Amino acid sequence: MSEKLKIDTHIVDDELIIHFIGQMDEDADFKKLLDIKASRFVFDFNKIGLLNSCGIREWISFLEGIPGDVQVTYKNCPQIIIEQMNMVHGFIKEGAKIETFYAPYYCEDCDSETKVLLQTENITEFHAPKINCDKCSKEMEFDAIEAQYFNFLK
Amino acid sequence: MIRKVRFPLKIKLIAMISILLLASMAFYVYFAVDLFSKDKSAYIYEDSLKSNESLATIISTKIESAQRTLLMVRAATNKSAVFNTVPSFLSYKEYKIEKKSIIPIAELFNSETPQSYGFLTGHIEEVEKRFPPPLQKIVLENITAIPIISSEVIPHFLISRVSPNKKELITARVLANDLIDALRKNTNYYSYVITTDGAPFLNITANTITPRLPHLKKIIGSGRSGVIDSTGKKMGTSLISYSPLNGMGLVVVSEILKARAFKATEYLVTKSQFFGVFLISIAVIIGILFARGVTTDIDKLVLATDQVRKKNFTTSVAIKSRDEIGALSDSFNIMSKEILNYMKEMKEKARLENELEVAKLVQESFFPDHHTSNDEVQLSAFYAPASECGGDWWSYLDHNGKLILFVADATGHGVPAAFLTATANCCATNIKYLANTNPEIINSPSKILTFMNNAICSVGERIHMTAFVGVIDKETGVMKYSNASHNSPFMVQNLGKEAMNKSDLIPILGNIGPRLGHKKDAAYDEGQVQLEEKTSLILFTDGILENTNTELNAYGQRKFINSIVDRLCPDAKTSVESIIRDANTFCDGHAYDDDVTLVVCNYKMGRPEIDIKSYPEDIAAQINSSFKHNPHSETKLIDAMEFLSTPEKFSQDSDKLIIISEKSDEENVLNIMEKYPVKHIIGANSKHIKDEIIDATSPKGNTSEKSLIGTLYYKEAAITSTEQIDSVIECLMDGIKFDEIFDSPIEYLKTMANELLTNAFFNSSTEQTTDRTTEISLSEKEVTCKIGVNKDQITLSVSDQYGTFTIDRLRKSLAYGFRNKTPKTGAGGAGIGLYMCYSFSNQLIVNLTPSKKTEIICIIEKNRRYKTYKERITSMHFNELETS
Repeated sequence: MSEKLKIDTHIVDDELIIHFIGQMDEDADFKKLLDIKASRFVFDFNKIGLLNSCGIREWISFLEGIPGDVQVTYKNCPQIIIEQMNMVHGFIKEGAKIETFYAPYYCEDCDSETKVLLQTENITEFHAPKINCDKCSKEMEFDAIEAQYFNFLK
Repeated sequence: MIRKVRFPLKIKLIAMISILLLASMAFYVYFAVDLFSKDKSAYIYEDSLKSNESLATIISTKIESAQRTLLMVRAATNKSAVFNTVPSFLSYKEYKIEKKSIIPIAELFNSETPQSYGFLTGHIEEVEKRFPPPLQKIVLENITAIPIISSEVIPHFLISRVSPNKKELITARVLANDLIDALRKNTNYYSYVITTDGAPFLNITANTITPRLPHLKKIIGSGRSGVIDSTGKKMGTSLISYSPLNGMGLVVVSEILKARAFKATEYLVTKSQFFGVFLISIAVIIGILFARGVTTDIDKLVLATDQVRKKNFTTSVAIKSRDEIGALSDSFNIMSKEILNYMKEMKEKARLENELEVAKLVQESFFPDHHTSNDEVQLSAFYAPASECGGDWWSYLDHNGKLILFVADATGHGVPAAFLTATANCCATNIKYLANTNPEIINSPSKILTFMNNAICSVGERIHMTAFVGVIDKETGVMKYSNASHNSPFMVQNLGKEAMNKSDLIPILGNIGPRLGHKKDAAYDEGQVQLEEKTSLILFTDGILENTNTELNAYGQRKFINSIVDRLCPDAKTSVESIIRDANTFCDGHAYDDDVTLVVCNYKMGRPEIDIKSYPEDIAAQINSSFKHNPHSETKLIDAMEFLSTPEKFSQDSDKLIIISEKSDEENVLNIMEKYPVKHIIGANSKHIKDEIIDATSPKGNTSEKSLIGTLYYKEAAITSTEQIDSVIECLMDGIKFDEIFDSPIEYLKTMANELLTNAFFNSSTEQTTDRTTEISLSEKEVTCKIGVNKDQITLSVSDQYGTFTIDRLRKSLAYGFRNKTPKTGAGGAGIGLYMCYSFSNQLIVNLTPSKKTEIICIIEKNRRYKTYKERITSMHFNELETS
């Protein structure tokens, strides 16, 4: 039906790094990833496009097939992925680690929004870290409801 | 702020010109002097050589002459007289050469010549003894000239001649004064003669020994004349020219110090350099004068602009030069004058604008309050002039149980037309007072128009005015009316009882008289209509029909009538606002071409009882203005808290409720929608709560007409295959400018479009397939997707042509998503698509025309903050539309 999701894989030591490029829909085929033996799966979502409900179903089905002893890490998760993490149960594999993700910040002085790549370890008690504007250097305001946006970290 | 001049143009020009001139002149001087030096040097060398060669020729000639003389003396018979004939000969000797010795056989000595030089008699004989000639060497080497150098003897040299048979030798001592004179002749050179052995032969000072030459070997060995440089420790560099005397074993040498030889050249070079510097100085001075000439004019311009900056616009600048600067000064002077003229014009314009503003204020007093109501009548009006003053006018008089309505439109707009509105208003005021003494006039719209016509005719006949006057008996509902060529008003009866269509719109036709001001003796007929309860009158001027959008398309009667049909409700104010909003949306910010007047007058509409309780003040104000006179008496407005506290009280009529909710989306779906078939939930923090209520109570609900969803951007596509979905979405959204909205709403729009289109295809398919990877193609009833952007929102609409999406399906689908938040397993749909659409939308609207069409609309409202977008409680509207 649509152009398939492109999945690039790289194996470094015992770690499988997976880049998703394009839209995650009903045609997304994650099964081949399960054939790769690695102790750690790292999902890089930096170039993910549209996600639809059937794509999410395929994704969750894939996650359920990952052996329990494989460590799973998510990185470079854009806002749309965070939305899905917060909305859909099972989008994050149990025990998985979210390493980095994008969050919206807003600078009142510049009247501009910026997507900032945050380290999960920098989020304490569901509070967004302070980030200064690149243009005016003033502190920007986190432009989402913290409890809602960081819900996936629970 | 004006910057400080740190590096003036004058300095720049001077520096530039000076550097250029300096460099070019310096190069020229260097080049010329170098050429000159080389030329002079060549000349000096050549001159030195020629001088030396000339000296050598003289010396050679003299020695050869002496030798010829020697042969002549040998041949002379009377040798004793030889010294009288050749006084330069000091001695003469003959020798016989034998095998082992050379024996003198004759000798003569000159005694007179030495005496004439101060030497004693016998001096030569003594010299002969002290400096005997090296006879053996002479014979062996055939020497012809031998130097005798001593300060104690008369300067002379010895010449000799060996006979060809080598048996006889003759010698003579010859006075060297001639040669010395020749050497002395050129005083610039120090000249001398040396032998090829390097020994001195003849010097200008016979007493001194010729200095040993550093390049002797080179000079003697060359065998030809030449010039060399020789550097001595004491004297410095000398120029040495030399010429060999062939066959004599002698070399004539001339020395001159190079500094002396080049003295004249050096002098000339120095003079040339001074001249060069002089020329450069002249050039720099000329450059400075030129730069000053240019920059002085620029300085004048700078000063003049500075004066202008200080608002001294009378400043002018006088520059006579006929170059660009001169032209610039002319432009400046013209510009100054133009500014003065422009300021005068602006002052005049400001005065006129001020007067217009006053006129506008005065004109505003011609109009009554725009909203009024009493038990019998609700009246609401909108008036907007196309310029400061307008030619439209409306008013009413409430007098003795009668309501007299006026709507008038003068020809054109602006000040002239405004004067006519003043006359019309004056007429209305006078009629009110006249009615006290002449009640007949107030009961007769034709008499009112006649009265107004007389007044307007007295103003002049150039401008006319159309007008409609209606006199309503508030008690009986009888309306008498008279029309002076004005647009016929509309009348709608039984408003609110059932959905309206165009046929409900009754134009009040007939009884058309001439325009006011057209004829002094014009007569106006009267008509009469009966206004029943819940009747609405719509009076207007032609401005609303004629105003255009940015593409210069007029709004027109069709759209106006459709808007009335869609928007007219028992609340006159809401009706006016909605109808004007539609017209403005169409015009899309394009300035009015003509004045706009719209008056809605509702007769005996009554007041439905609506409970509105504890809403925030701003929400309550919006609700009150939009819902106060809701026509659907069965529709109730309620807040979610109240509903949830006593749901049983409303459960029977839950489909007739509009619930305003401060609850979360999840609570609204799971606690309200899932349990009760509520069709309208409005997020309490909606910025468009009033519009949402108006749309919810409109018989046609919210439609996705182009004019409503996309005035800034609009695209639509009909799709017949699932294979087209992705490309169509890309195409529809390519080109949207996401101004005044948070970053990346396109990701949400694409997701929603994908979900809705996919669902539309699988719901429409007759193949009953459940595999979502299967391609679905529709042969007849295609799916339509529209995307539009206007100033408030981005709207996505997806519709199929089946009309099977019921409120129950919506409720179940949303409830599944919010409850489970995980996709369904299996081959069918994941079951969370609508849940995602709901979560990503600020408003989700379903317009269902049963068995004909299902349209799902997702709206993202414009705001700069993602946070505000997420905080917005999603509104849901389910409109079931009648099949027309």
